[in-house]
Amino acid sequence: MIIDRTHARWCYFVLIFTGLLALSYLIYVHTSMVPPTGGTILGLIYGILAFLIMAFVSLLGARKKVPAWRIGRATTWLKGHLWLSLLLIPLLLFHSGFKSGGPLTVVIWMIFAIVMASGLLGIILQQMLPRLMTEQVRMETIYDQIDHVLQQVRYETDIQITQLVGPLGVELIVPEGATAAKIKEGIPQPGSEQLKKFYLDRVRPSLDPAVPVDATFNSATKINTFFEEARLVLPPNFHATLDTLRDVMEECRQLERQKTLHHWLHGWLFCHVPLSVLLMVLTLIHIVTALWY
Amino acid sequence: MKLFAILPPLEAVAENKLEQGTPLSLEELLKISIFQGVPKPLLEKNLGAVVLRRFRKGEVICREGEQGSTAFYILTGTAQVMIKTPFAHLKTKSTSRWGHLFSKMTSLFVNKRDDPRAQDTIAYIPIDAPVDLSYQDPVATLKIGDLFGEMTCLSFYPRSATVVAGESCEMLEMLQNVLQICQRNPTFKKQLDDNYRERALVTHMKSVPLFKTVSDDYLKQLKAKVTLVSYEPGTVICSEGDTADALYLVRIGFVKVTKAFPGGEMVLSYLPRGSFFGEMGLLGYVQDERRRSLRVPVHIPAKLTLKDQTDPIDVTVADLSNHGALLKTDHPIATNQGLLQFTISIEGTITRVQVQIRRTMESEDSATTIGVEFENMNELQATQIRQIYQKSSTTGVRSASCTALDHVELVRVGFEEMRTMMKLFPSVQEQMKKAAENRESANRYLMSVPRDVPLDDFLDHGLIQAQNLLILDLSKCTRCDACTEACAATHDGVTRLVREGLRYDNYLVATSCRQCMDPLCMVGCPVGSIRRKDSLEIIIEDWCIGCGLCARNCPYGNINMHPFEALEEDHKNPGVMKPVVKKKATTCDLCTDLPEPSCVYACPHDAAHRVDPKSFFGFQGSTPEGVSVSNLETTK
Repeated sequence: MIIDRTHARWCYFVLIFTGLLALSYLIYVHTSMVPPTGGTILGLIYGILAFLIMAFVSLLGARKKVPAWRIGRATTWLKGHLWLSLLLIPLLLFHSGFKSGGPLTVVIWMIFAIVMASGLLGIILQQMLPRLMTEQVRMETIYDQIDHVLQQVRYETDIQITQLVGPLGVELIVPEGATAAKIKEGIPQPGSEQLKKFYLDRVRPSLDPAVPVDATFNSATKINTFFEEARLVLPPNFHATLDTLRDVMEECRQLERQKTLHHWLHGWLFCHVPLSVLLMVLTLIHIVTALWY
Repeated sequence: MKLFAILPPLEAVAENKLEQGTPLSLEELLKISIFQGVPKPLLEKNLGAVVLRRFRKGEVICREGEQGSTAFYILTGTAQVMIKTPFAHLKTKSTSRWGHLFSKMTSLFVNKRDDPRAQDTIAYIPIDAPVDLSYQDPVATLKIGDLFGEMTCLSFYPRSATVVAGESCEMLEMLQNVLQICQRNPTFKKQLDDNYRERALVTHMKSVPLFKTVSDDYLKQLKAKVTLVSYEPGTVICSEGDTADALYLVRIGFVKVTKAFPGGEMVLSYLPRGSFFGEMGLLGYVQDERRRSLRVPVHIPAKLTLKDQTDPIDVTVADLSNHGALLKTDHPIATNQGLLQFTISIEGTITRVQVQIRRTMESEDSATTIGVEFENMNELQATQIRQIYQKSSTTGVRSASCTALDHVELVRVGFEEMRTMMKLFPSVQEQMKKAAENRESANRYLMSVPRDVPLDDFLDHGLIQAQNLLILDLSKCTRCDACTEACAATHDGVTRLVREGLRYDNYLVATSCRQCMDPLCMVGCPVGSIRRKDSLEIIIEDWCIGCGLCARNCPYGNINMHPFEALEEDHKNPGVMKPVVKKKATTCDLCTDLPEPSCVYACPHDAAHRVDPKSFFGFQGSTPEGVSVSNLETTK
């Protein structure tokens, strides 16, 4: 989510609320000469508020499971998730009186720190990566379809080359859900063998969806250079084919790039979500333990 | 009556023989009236393209939605033509008892009785046969001499209706080449036209909302006065700016209505059978007082013997009321009805003109030059002239161009007939006014799209929309697919949105109905159930037969086929009903039952927006970087 002017109200709210919390904390410290802890009324209020906020921010995941429910716009939920989570920092600090407490609370503090850090990382990534993906991956497709598209690209390229140079001598893998095309094998022309060898040895391995793109093809400049050099080696009648192969390779590179960026864009959630759940569980244990004893 | 005594009795013929049909010899074909007059060699070449088919009572001849390539001509017996798919349109409705709180929408199939929609005025359903089906009871009878399946045969559109043999019957099943031979045969053409005029024209006219209130007696009188005209694919029926001289009803085929637009041409509509056009011009909605043009049909004089229609002809028109000043004309076209058509540009007022026609290739001296004065011309032409001369005349010029998309047959109701009808039945004029006003406001809307928009992009990408676009701001979108999941969750698990589409700068125009410049989805709908409302929104009528042609035609994959269960008679066990899965076409409904579209509501990153394209592209075209989505009008 891009942090823009639409977040201003949330930001002011958090700042003002933090100010009020700090004021109440300072007044308490000034009047009673000791900081509040979980056992004091004010400390307990801080704790209850923190728990309610934790419960609310945890519900974001549940809200996503019912996208059709009209229980507030998803964007409002996410803004609430981001900004109210920040309030947890002063609330928990004031609740604990700036002390780490026992082993359980130490663990809670550590997990809280990781969850907050991963969340902040998520915000930073979501600020940057969508724009980066838009700029760098002009041939973007739906993430789940990438492998299928790559299979399709390889199959179509195989057919195209077969039509030019005759049988490739490798198994042409028909993409899932597609039907095998009837291939009209071309009559080998001068230089066909050269093109075939070039395709099979240098290009085709990088078209395999299961294999990451070769370092030779990991930038548009490198791809251009590679195919410019190939033009010097292969006869002119195959130059148009080289242009096609260059475009194909560029598409594969972009889709690979999309995969990478997508993993970064969503990968942090694998840390953030489970630890948030764990944090919630530990917090509940903390509450029960605190109330019990 | 058995036409072919040589054939064994129907009962003795094996089922598979019936399925295949019986090829006919040249002699047998020539016995049939529709082939009389057709050159023998031509018929001989196409012998395999026509067969005799015989059907038992109740046997299905063709089924709605099926692909086909043949037309049927009834020789003996009758057939019942009907639409079996239940009449309903897909409606998504919030069924929650908690207001919109848990708004899972349910897809309901409702008909217009339960859910009347704006502009739901069509009472008859156009099909590929010489009859229309009533919405209330969509069954009709086809008789001897009727031809059905013409559009399937000529343009390969899916079958529009199910046809069942009403009694034991014999039919000719023919392929395109034979049908075209028949259509060129004046005897056959006349027979079809007479049949149509006698049996279907009144119903057809009654099916047009304009004529709803016109009495049957008057329509019976009118049927002799109207002209039945046909056009080959690509022929311009009328051009924008032409003088309006008639109202047209579409009888067969599709008429493409286009309007010149800055930077290109906008397809306003594809008019199927049952539609009408020409009312705006007749009512004078588009007037140009200074410069007018008149399309003049002149009978080609007998002494000007033309070799064929391409014979070069020159036409000179002199304004006799202005000392013989020459008037501008366009290139004359000779029609196959023996008429020469050309358009005269007129400025100011004229009273008398003289037309001279000669062959271009011949020298001035030897050329056949004749003079034609309008006063001496037939009534139709005189009427047109009167329209120009009379200052008080209400006629105007055509507001759009109409072109035959495929083989088109039209019913032409002349200006005089329309004027008389409007006098006798004032509601006709009211209806015409209403229709013209709606179309005019739609046209005005189109013309209001900002001129500085890079229109080529619009045209190329089909991004000119009347209502809404779903755009995704790719600089905000994290590709979480919450929008598509929300759409699916809202619409019974079937998403109507795919997060893929055209990119316009940093915006992705996601796949949902765009109400394109050229709505290809409308082309070929065998029952005319997909159409554009005057607001340009695409609407799918109740009688969609689920053939899926619109879904295949939509270049953006924006039309989905929504399955539903219906009961249908089991072909193997007559009389036994069995559940079958039928389909209805549907487009994005903008979640109209909800305060905001689900996709927009469920986007956590504020990246999805329904925007008014006019305001969006209005400044998107000039300053893409400066666009702030928060400033866009998010439509609800």
